[in-house]
Amino acid sequence: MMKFCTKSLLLLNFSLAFLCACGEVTTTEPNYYKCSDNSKISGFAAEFGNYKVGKTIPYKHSDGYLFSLAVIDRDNYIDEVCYKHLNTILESAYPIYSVSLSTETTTFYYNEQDKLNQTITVEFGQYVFSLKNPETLKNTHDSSYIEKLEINGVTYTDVAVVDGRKYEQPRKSEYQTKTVESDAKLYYQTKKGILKIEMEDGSYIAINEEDD
Amino acid sequence: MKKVLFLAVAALLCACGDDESSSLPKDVQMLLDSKNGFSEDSVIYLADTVNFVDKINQYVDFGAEDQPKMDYAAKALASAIDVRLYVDQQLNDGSIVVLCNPALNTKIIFDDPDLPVTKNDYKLSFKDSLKVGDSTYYDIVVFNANEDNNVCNISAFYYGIHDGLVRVVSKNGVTLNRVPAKVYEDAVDRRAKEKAIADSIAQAVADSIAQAVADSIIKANTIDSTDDDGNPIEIPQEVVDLAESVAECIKKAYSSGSLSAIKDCKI
Repeated sequence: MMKFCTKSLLLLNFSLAFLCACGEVTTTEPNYYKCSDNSKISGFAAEFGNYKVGKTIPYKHSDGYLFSLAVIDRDNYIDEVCYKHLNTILESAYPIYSVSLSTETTTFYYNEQDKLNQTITVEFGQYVFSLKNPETLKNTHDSSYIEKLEINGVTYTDVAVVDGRKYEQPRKSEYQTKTVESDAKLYYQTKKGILKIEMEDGSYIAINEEDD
Repeated sequence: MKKVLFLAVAALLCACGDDESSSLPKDVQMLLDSKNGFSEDSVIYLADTVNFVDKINQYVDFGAEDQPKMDYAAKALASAIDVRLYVDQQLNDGSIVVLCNPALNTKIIFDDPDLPVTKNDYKLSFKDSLKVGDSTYYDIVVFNANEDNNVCNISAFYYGIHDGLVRVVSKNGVTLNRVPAKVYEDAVDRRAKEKAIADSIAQAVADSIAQAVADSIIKANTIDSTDDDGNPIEIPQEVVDLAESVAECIKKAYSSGSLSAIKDCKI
């Protein structure tokens, strides 16, 4: 009898354990724990500049050079902690410029406001800029919002300007991310992207659509 | 006898050790030995023959006395000149490694580098000297990239083993040479003067247009400036206010660089 009881208890335990295990398997994981299967970012960062690989944008240097920045790379991906990334690289042969734009967002947007609050990090040489959505700046009456700005004969609306920083020098490693103040400024617009970059040596590059 | 044998073995081991330390290719050894006279962390300047000039931060690490190494990097402030050249002693018993594009971070490894040496579409060679402007730089390692399949954002650079970067050639063939700091300082001064002149011209134009528009508003709103007896008629305050606000609007439009904003000044 004693043997039977022990066996019955063991069987009951196994059954309970089995049922518990099945329960865990069937628990539905909330959406915010899952990675999206779509790596594409939407909103301000995706629309910024309408940059597509192969596109070239004409610019003029303050010292008189006419040149184009070409979009040479644009990459969407999801990292191991479920963040979506969008990286874009623009390059010109001469002056030897490279502009890197990067943005990251959580996998899911919880509401439309998240799309407005995206920021884009722009690296240009050793300068770094953090770009906020001009629409957000307009809504919050931020002084960096400019209603109209004329550049090389073309008027751009809904423009924003941001102060730059620069990497502390000498920068002996890519992991050295400490920045210091700089007089550099970047003017931008969601539709056309980067409009003008003023550098601390007094030179600048500006979009040059006048002859288009 | 045992002592003699022991000494012979010890001597052989020492000799083998010596051989090993000098087994690096001679050009790799030359880079490791270039410590003397090199100013390690410094700012240099590269300019083309027209107007463009950029500030470059360069640094080099020669390691410690007992563990020599050579790791050179140059990063421009505004442009994308970003060159790294270093010796990797662990790789193939001494290799020279070049990185030449900050966006791609691709390593070009020259194994067993007895200069000149070619690796795929890239070449490293040696020049005794290079004359740049009024200066002559000695012991130059030249890096060249083939036009096709070039992962670099430049086509060539010249590295003076005592001086760092002395020349860079862009992908479309423009040469940037090492220049003194004064060239950069002069460019900064020139731009500041050009900006001051442009600002003062814009201000003068804005002032004169604003004045002319204000005068014409007053004139258009005042039939005659004197009465029948020749006494001056006081201009209505609203006309004066309108003229002033339009003039201010024109000045603002000019100072913000938006000439088209003048259209919104309700002239």
